[in-house]
Amino acid sequence: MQHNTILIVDDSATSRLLFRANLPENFPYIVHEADSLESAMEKGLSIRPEVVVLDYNMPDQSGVEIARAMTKAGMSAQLVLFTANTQKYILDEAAAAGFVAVIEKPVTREKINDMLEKVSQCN
Amino acid sequence: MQLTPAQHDALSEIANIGASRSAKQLSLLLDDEIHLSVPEVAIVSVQELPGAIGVAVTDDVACVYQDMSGCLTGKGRLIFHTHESRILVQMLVGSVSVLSGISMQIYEHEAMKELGNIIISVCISAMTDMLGKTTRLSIPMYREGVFEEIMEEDSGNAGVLVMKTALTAGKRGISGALIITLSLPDIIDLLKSLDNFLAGYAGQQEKNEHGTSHSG
Repeated sequence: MQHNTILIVDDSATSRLLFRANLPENFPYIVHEADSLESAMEKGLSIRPEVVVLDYNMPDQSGVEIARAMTKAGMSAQLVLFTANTQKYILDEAAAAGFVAVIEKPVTREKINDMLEKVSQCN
Repeated sequence: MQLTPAQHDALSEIANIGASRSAKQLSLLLDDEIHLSVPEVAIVSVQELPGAIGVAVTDDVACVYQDMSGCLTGKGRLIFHTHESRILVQMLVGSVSVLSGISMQIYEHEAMKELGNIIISVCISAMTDMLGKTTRLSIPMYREGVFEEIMEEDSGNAGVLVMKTALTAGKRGISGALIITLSLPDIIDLLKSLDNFLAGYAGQQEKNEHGTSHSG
């Protein structure tokens, strides 16, 4: 049975834990995690996720920069921004890079459900 | 006081959320993009504080502070080097006609209190909300002076929670630190709350994973 996969890219283990802990029932994706550009590329190329959720504010590259690198490497996942920093310039930057949804931190089950709805609308 | 890796990560994420929300509020206030670095967090002694935030004890600093009461009792302070606080004020007030030297100074102090209030209350709220705590904050106060003198009343306190970030606005960079001085019982309580917070979510994650196939 083929499962859809989602990759969450966030340098904070706490943030990734909160994401997993707030998954709605019957979440339709298997969740994989990455904490940097390097691990995101490795996991992304290996599992080819349908959706990639990226934190914006990370130590070496922003989530948008990582998304661009993944897209350039041939990955065609739907991109979701995961951030507390929802300033307009960041949302505009993400939209320009092809992000289809934003989950504003701190994460809740409702916000993940909203994200699922937006992602399914873009399919 | 050493944080465990899990506590450090959790506090960093909480600080990130607080700083990000503050940045958004500031960007609306200053009508400008605010870029901020990933916050550094630590719990240090008052003696270790200067090194932790890159300030010498004899440096002139500007400080906005608010007293905290309730579950966490202490003081939240936002500290900038004085010359950097002038940059922040200038961003807020822009080019304002100076009525008199005294009026401008009062105006600048009010502007700093407004900016400081945003950052302190948003960051502390992010922390208390996520940890399920309630803390009351006093009205913001402003003070300039030598760092050592500003921290003098806290020399007997057990520890300081440091959240340090650098922000850039309008192509000008300034570096500030939010420091929260707490008593030893409050620090212990804070760390226990962090552990409970993480344990609660780890339990929920386990429940989710046993309910359906989520892991990879």
